[in-house]
Amino acid sequence: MAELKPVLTVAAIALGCALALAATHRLTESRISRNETAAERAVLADVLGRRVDDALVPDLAVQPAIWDDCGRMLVARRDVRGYGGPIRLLFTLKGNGRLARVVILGHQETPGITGFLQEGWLGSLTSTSAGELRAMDAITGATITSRAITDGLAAALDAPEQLGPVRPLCSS
Amino acid sequence: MNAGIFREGALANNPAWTQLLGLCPLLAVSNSVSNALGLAAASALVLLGANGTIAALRGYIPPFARLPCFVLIIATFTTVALLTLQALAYDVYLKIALFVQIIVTNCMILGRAEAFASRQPVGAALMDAAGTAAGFALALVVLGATRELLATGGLFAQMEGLFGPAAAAWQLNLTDSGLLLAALPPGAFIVAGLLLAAMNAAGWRRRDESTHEAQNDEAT
Repeated sequence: MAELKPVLTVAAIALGCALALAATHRLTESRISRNETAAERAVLADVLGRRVDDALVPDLAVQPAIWDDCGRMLVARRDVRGYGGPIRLLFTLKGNGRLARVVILGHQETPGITGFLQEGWLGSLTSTSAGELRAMDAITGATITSRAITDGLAAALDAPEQLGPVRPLCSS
Repeated sequence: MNAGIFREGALANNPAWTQLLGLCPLLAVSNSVSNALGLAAASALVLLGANGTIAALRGYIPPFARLPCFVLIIATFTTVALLTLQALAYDVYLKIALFVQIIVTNCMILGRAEAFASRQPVGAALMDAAGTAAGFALALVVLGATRELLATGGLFAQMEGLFGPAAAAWQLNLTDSGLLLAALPPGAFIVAGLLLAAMNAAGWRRRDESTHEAQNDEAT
């Protein structure tokens, strides 16, 4: 029996730890999911220029995906492969096969070379077509990053159906 | 006596500057004051929780199984800290989550558990944790402030992630030009090395004290 005691002690500590974790999870669960949806909702509202009904806010982690915003525009989610990992793009498409807005939800590119992303470069993509995107010059020093973004967007403009079935963002 | 333990951990035996422990998160996260404070708070929570729990259980933990028990307890508090950060400061969580997770394997925390908390009463262990946490926070904030100042020419950007919307006004912009290198990983090594050299030159690290040497050997 003597050798059983340390085993039971370790098991008891493990049980205590598990209970502490379960309690913390219970306490923080709702707040964390509220934070996550609030962050996504803010980005989506920014891109669409309007707030989406809480019940209809899609899960932006799932990609590729495309949604129809009440016939006003199409909103799409797609990851492209950058230099340091996936670049998570959220963008809107106009009816005439041109881009409206591009937002980067997240990326793992080298901090020093991504300055161009904050300096209006994404804004310069507004109203571009697939052909114009492909003809754009890459950013010096960030060739892979900028090319990945323009090529990924051009591919989505060429064949939006590859992003999956269009789902509605409006209740009507 | 307890105040002495605190001072020892925070200054004379500062985990980062004197013992050079916990450098991975220190170098990775110290690119701004707001990130540094977030990691300092998470580390403090884990240190206090783990040191206190281990000291309370020190009579029961079987000596040959002490490391698994320590890691189990430290991992629990790390997850608690991570979930708390995710619930209370989501923007900061998005930036430093990875480095909060690896607090589990932070040798500074395991070192305090093994060298101090497993042999001392709860009060002394908590004091030691508070001192070590304060020392680590001091190191993080000094390095974070230096790097943020060098890289962006300002201080206290994005503090609203930690302290609510009112803190957005704390941002200071001193110059427009910045040295980008300071915010990048090589800048972490260079700035930390220069700070350490400056502290050595100023006689911060106390040498020739056999008691500290002995404690350091145990911790590493």
